[in-house]
Amino acid sequence: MRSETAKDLLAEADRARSKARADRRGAWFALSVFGALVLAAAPLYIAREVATYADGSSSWVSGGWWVSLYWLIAVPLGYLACVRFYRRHAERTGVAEAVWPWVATGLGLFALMAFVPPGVAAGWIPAFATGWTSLPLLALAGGFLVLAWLERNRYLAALSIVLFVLPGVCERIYNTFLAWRGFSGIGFSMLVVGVILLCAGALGWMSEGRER
Amino acid sequence: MSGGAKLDEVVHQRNRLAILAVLEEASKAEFGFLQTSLELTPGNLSRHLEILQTAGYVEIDKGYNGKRPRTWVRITRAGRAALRAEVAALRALLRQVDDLPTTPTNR
Repeated sequence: MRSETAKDLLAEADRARSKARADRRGAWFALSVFGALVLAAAPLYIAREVATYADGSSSWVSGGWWVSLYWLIAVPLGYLACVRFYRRHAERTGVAEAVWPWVATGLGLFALMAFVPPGVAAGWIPAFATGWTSLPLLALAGGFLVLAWLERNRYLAALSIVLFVLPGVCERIYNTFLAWRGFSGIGFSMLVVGVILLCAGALGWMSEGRER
Repeated sequence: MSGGAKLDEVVHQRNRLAILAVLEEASKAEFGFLQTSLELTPGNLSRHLEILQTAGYVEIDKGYNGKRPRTWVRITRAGRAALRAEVAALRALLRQVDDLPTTPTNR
């Protein structure tokens, strides 16, 4: 066989593969859905003044049972919406993505982080009610990393890695430079991460449209 | 072919290699998608799929989406192995060609 033929065969296979890859991708939708959910969570972290001291200083607490309730409803609904989207996307384009590993990882991490470490100590109160408030973002980041691998999407992989560290960075920036009265560092990181996810979703939607 | 790399006659064909490459990328693909993305006629694609199915490299699932008939194709474990072996053999061939000493030309 001539080397040109071998080269042509491989090039043809790569072209077909790239087309299928571009057509099956739908991460923009997942990013948009979870971006909206994260952004909507930010107001839940508004801090309440719980004590005022003689020197005029005061103690503030953010979050509560409603935060747990929100995440326990929002995250499964978010994944459900994405699964439905990917199914319809497959029907429309004729090429399907196996999203179950992503959904299983995302929901598994969420359940693990929500209930296991502090939940055991707190009598199975979800962790998000006991101060572990950036955990939903870490569970989302872990899930997105799996989705990036499934879609062979290096931009999504980079964004997932950024999402692992971003909440901590945002909280530090907020506590050091901003510290708005009545808000909280975690609320600020929800705001930033939500906006970033929505922007990434919009960019993904535009670039995937262009690739197709 | 020289170099000892063995090529599978089922996969060693332009369209069938491309079909397997598409199917390896996705969890499954629809007949119409394969037809348009590989620019094949329905009859031609059916023939290639039949050969791949007989070899155990793909599974074909015929169903309906509403009233519309749809045929989904997915790659099997044996199909993945055959595709990887073919791609490895083709790459090995290209490497061998690259390693060949260039023939001196008489001036």
